[in-house]
Amino acid sequence: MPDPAGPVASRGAAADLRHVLGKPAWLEILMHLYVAEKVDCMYLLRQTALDEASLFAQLKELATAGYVEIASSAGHDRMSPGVRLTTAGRREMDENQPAVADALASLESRRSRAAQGGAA
Amino acid sequence: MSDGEVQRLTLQPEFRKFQLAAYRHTVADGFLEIMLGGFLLLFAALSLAGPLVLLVCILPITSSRALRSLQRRFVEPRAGYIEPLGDKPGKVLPGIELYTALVIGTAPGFLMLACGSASSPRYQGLLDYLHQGEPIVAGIMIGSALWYLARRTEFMRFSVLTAVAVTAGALLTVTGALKVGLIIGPGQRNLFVLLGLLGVLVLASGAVAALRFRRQYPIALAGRNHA
Repeated sequence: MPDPAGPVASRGAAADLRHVLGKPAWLEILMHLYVAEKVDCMYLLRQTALDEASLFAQLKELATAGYVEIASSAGHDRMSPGVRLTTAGRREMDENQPAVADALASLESRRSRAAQGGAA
Repeated sequence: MSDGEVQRLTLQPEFRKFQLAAYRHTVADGFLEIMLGGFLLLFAALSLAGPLVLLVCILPITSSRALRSLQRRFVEPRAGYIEPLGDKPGKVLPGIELYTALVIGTAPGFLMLACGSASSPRYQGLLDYLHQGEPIVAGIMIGSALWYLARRTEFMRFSVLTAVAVTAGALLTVTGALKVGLIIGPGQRNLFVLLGLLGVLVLASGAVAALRFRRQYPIALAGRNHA
């Protein structure tokens, strides 16, 4: 398990944020974690529409970057492993809410344009 | 509440979609409504049995745990688990049970203590007034909890149930006071009608939600360990 105050805290916040905002899957996963105290992998699987392999690959990358903590296995009362933001990851999201909101709006706009293009 | 929590709860409008998904997930399975409907029907039945109504006071202690157990068994394998930051819509169930049981269930007892004796004419007179006013009090209490769920989840069904709870409570109080229609009767019959009506509606709403949830989240992924 990564150190909650590890890579995110030690690198420059702006650089970290640009890295997150550039990856739609990361942004979506982090947003689901941001509005929750606890989440399990099944919830993320259902909400993000990522396949299982892709979700776990993204989660591992986010854990390596110090944004999320993944329980090593399913708890005694959980079907799938729990995931949550690290303290440093949550702090970075707190401090950069407007930039994250802009990135989300831009992502939504790109998706709706793509959907309209697909429909046409 | 710490500064950090305050900041976290003050979210950008763009974040609402994710917050809404979290809140909706906690009630999408319909179990909360099924248990709430069952509680209201039980309360309705016990409200005709005098002091036995106090039995419902034990439900708030057990219902929250029972709801979590049901969700762990049937919901998490299908759709996963999330504990939203801040408000917890799932806490509505024990909350509504506790307030309804305490306010409605124990009011006659407090009235009797205040009047000194259950056989005193003053107690009987006040008890009549209490029974006449109970539907609107219960309607507002249950309606408040349903309105909270409606605001958090933006599910239309909770808004409709809120309107029914408050309107039916007001109508039953007025018709009880005027002694008109089918509601004329002794004791807590007005309350019985309100709780029975709301119990059936909330239970039916929960059953429909549960069926839709089962259809939306088939068992295909159930039991898979992602560790």
